[in-house]
Amino acid sequence: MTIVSPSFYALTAVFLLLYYVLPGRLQWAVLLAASVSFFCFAGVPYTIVYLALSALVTWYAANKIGEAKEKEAEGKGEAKRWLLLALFVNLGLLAALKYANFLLTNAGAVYGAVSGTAVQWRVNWPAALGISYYTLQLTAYLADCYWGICKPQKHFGRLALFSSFFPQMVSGPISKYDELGKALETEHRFDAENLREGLLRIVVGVFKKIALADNLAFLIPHFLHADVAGTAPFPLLAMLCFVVQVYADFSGCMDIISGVALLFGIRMTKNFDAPFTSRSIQEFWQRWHITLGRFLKEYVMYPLLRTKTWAKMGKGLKKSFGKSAAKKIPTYVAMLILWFFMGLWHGGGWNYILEGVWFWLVIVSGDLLTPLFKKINAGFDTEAAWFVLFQRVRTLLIYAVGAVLFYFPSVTDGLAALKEIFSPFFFAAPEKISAQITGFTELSGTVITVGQLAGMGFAFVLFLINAHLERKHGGLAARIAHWPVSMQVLLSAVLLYILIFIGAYGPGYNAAEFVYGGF
Amino acid sequence: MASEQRVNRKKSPVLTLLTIVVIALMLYSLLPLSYLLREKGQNRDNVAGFYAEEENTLDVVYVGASSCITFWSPLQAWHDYGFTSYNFAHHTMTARTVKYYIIEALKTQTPELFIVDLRPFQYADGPNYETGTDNLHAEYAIRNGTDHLFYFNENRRDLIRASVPEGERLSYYADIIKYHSRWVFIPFALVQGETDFFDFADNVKKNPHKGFYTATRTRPLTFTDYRDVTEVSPLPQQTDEILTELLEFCKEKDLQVLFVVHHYPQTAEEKALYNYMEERVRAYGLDFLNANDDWESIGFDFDGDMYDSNHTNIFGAEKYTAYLADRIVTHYGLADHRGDAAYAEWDALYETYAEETAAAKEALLSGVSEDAADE
Repeated sequence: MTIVSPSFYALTAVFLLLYYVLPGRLQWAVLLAASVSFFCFAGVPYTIVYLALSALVTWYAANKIGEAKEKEAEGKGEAKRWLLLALFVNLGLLAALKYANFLLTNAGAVYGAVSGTAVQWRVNWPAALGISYYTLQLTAYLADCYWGICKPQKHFGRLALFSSFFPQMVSGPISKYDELGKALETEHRFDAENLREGLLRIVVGVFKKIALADNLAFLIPHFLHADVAGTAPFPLLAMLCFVVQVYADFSGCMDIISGVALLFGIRMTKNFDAPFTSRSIQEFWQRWHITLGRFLKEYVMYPLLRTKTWAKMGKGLKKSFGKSAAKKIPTYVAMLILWFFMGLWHGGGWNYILEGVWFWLVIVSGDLLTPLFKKINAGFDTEAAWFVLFQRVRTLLIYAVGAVLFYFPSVTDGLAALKEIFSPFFFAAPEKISAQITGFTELSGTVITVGQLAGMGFAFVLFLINAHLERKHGGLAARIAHWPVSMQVLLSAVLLYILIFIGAYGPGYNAAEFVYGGF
Repeated sequence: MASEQRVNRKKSPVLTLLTIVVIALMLYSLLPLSYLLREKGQNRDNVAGFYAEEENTLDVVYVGASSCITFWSPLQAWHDYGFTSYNFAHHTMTARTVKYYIIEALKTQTPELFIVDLRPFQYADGPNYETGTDNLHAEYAIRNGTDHLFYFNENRRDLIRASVPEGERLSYYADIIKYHSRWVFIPFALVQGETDFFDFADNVKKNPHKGFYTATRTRPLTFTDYRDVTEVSPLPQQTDEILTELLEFCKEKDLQVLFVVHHYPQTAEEKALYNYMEERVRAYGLDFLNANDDWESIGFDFDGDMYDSNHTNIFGAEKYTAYLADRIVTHYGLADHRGDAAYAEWDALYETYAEETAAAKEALLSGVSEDAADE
């Protein structure tokens, strides 16, 4: 079961009915039952044990932290011990289930290099659905309880629901307890407005996913096919298509998630805010996967900067290199750790880590070169439309480089692809480009229909319109909120009707799982 | 944000009505669009053409795989003997599909005789959807049978259930799931004014050849006469069960059925299989004919009458049709409708057909064949 499959909506409809028919005090139980059902249908059922264990340990430890903190000074050490214990269990489970093979592969490579005997160490431990999301969410909750930002939840069932709320198990967002936990504690009455907006968001999300992202997922391997790869524009097209695919896929998924949550009266934390309108990569990461960036800043980077080690580092640097270096270098080091984890979070692979380090490098270089850029830009109107466009395209290309590393599991393949993409294809012999275009046409003639390509083009136009509306109005669903309901119904029906023809589904398509669904 | 700020929307009955009308139109359009997006070609022409036949006007319905389409010429049989017939056949028909095509035929026709091509029973041990190792059992073979029939059809549903494993059936029931990305041909056809394209919108379209295809190529084949082979080789269990089911059905419906084996360079093992099928068919009181046993008396020439190892060309078709039509008239005493005004259309179609086949034969004799067209 995926969140674009009919069975998911059937499940949602059943629990939605129960949610509003049963007394409000039972709503949390209905949602928990829905979450357990979804987990069992969409994931490996027995792995719910991992989720249950994390929720139980977190609930118990958080309450112990709360009790310890009431003891004032003497309780501080006890609270810290409970915090560390719970983090050890939760993060240990995440490390074991998600990164064991990464560690074993690397350990095997080192062992092989030293001993001269090639070994392949692997384990087959299926990870729990959404483990990367709920683990971070519970980590944030524990830290907030420890820091006194939120009060521990006494009711285990409610904390279990916060850990497992079904719409967000596929692709997040990583919500804080104050946001999602509180919303789940509140009783919700049926609201036609929520239903309207929720359904519209779902339609937009499904459209993004099936009409655009999945079609592109189908197309990209053909752009990278050996017959057409080379110095011609195909690797570049593949890169740009992948950027659009990831965005359409992930943001489409978020639209569906927030739409489904809204049907239950719950407004999810925003995870995207028109990222491709960003003028710098720093701004981009404040608009893309917002909740992951926020988590890493608030629960990794800032706590690091507050540690004694960092304070000592600053002092040492101040003596040797001056005030500016003392301020910047510890921050850059903390940022490197943040970006390392940002990369690692996406999966156990050096390509992900390299992707994270790439963004760190760009941001740090940008910061260091700010004085130079200021001098260069002094002659321009930096608010002129052309300059803003230049900055946006530049940001997109910087992100695209990271996306290429993300796409190829092998770092070598990723770097080779980048070399191909940025090799001077503009200077390639015209006949070579022409031959490769012919090659692609011949290849695609057998596997990609004109209908698919035209459908993708159409979906891309709608996607651009939605992306434009996102910055100004928060997307299509919000933009047309004041339209008459009949018009909104009509628009949704038209989108679904078009989706029947241009969507990537059915035999012959190999619809991709949500790109962020594997984390 | 909707839940916090109530939106004051204008209500317009006109807009509401417009929405209802547009949604109704979209829903209404799905059926013809589904039909338009289906595969086109001989299979489609034959099924849509069968649906276009006037009710209860066919004396003979010929059911089977692609060889029927090239062997039996309904218009020649009409011209020479005056009975009506139709090739309700498609490429790669599976053994399992045969019964369902007979059921489909019985919905609109009450033929005196069904002719069933036994070739599908030679290949199969039943549809093997999962492995798809044999082309006859792959998705393609099944879809050739299921995708051209009318929607909302209990018989089509039963055929899908019988042929496709549970969990894989949705795109067979609603074949638009399979073919939806062909939508671009619709605007192309509109722009280019191809009105023919839209003839299939109701899945009904007259087939002027009554399911026959004029094959214009000659492949000389080596034929070994196995008339003397009397051994009997049983069919694999699953195929045998399918044959039994078909024979039981024919008996239950009290149908007159002639089971045939077309000319082709069969092996001794295959002859033994057909001997077994003959025994089974005759045990049910039904008729059987292996055309390979009569090749000499017919004057069938394996050097000049075959299109490939499974299909005949126009010369072979003429010989086979003359031979079988004569047998049908002799054994089943069908009425001669020639001269009946109600069947005037058949005469008109024959005129065109005769011109086409004359041209085809001339081209073939002068060395122009489908191979040349392919090149």
